[in-house]
Amino acid sequence: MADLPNVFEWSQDKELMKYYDELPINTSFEMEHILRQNISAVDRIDYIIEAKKRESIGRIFFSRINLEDKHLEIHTMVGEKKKRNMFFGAEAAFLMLLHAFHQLNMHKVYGRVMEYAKEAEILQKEMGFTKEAVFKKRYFQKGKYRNAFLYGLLDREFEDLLKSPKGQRYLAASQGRGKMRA
Amino acid sequence: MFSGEKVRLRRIEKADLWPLWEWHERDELYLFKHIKSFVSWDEIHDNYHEYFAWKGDFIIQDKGSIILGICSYHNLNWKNRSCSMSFRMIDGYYDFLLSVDAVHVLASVIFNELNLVKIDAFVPQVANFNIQTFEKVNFLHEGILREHIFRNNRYLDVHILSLFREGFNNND
Repeated sequence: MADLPNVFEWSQDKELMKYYDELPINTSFEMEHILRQNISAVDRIDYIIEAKKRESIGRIFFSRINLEDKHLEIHTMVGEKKKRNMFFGAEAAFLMLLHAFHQLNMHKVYGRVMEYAKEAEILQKEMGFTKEAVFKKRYFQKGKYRNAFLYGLLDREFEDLLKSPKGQRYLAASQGRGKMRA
Repeated sequence: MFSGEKVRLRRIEKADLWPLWEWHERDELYLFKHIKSFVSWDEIHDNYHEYFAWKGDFIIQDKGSIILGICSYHNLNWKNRSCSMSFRMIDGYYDFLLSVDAVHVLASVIFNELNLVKIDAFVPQVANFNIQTFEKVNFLHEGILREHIFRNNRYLDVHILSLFREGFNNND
């Protein structure tokens, strides 16, 4: 719960939250309640993203973990404005994909992206995800129904990424820079 | 109870549990998906009010009270005013006149009573009958989730179809 102040502060950033389909959270107490629910949920794993100096910069989590069909959904949220660039999100996502495929033995990881979240879309493509569906007018944000895309990555596609020069670079970088903790 | 031209939708009663359970033992029904694996009949029977508390599950029956299948709305999201829909017909009642009527009645409830604006359906690739039924009620394809579910020792694609209120013909 030591992360509560940071997590609550990020949840109040309207510029950031427009990329996520979540109801507004108005009090720290409400956020604490949600975090406690998340901790005890059997289909969810939450992490804090830390940068090199161990400062918390965002959240990354798995939801809808399905152990029978062996798939889960990934969400990446870099809360600190100065750290909202491709590098931190990509490295955190890469570490989570390693965790999903090599430790949790998942068959598929997927993620939903709002149509205007261009950086998130670039990130999904960078990690080798394939666009599988266009959810038309699916999410109500800022007074309008917005489209969203669903991207999916299969285990064998992730192994192909790992074998590629790009994957090797991510693997090397992830062992030297940036850390994640629960 | 909601009525169409050929079918009626009604709540699941305790008396329906045994035939549904027998059907589930043969075909694995989505209705029992949220109940933990290897649950006994006694447990289902004793916990009926817990397991079937959701008001969005319906029995599809004909006008003579013969059970034809089940249908449901779920994943209701009030912010986005959307939900998902599923249905399953019993072997021997794979008839588009019946399934289309059932889906149409349920869609009508969702749009006209619950005041939602979008319905999604996630249908495994092998369920061609269900895909065609949804198409006949004007559902449109939004994509295919590759290898998304595991059934009978293999991964299957899942089709996503959706219907908007404006695409729904109340007079069909």
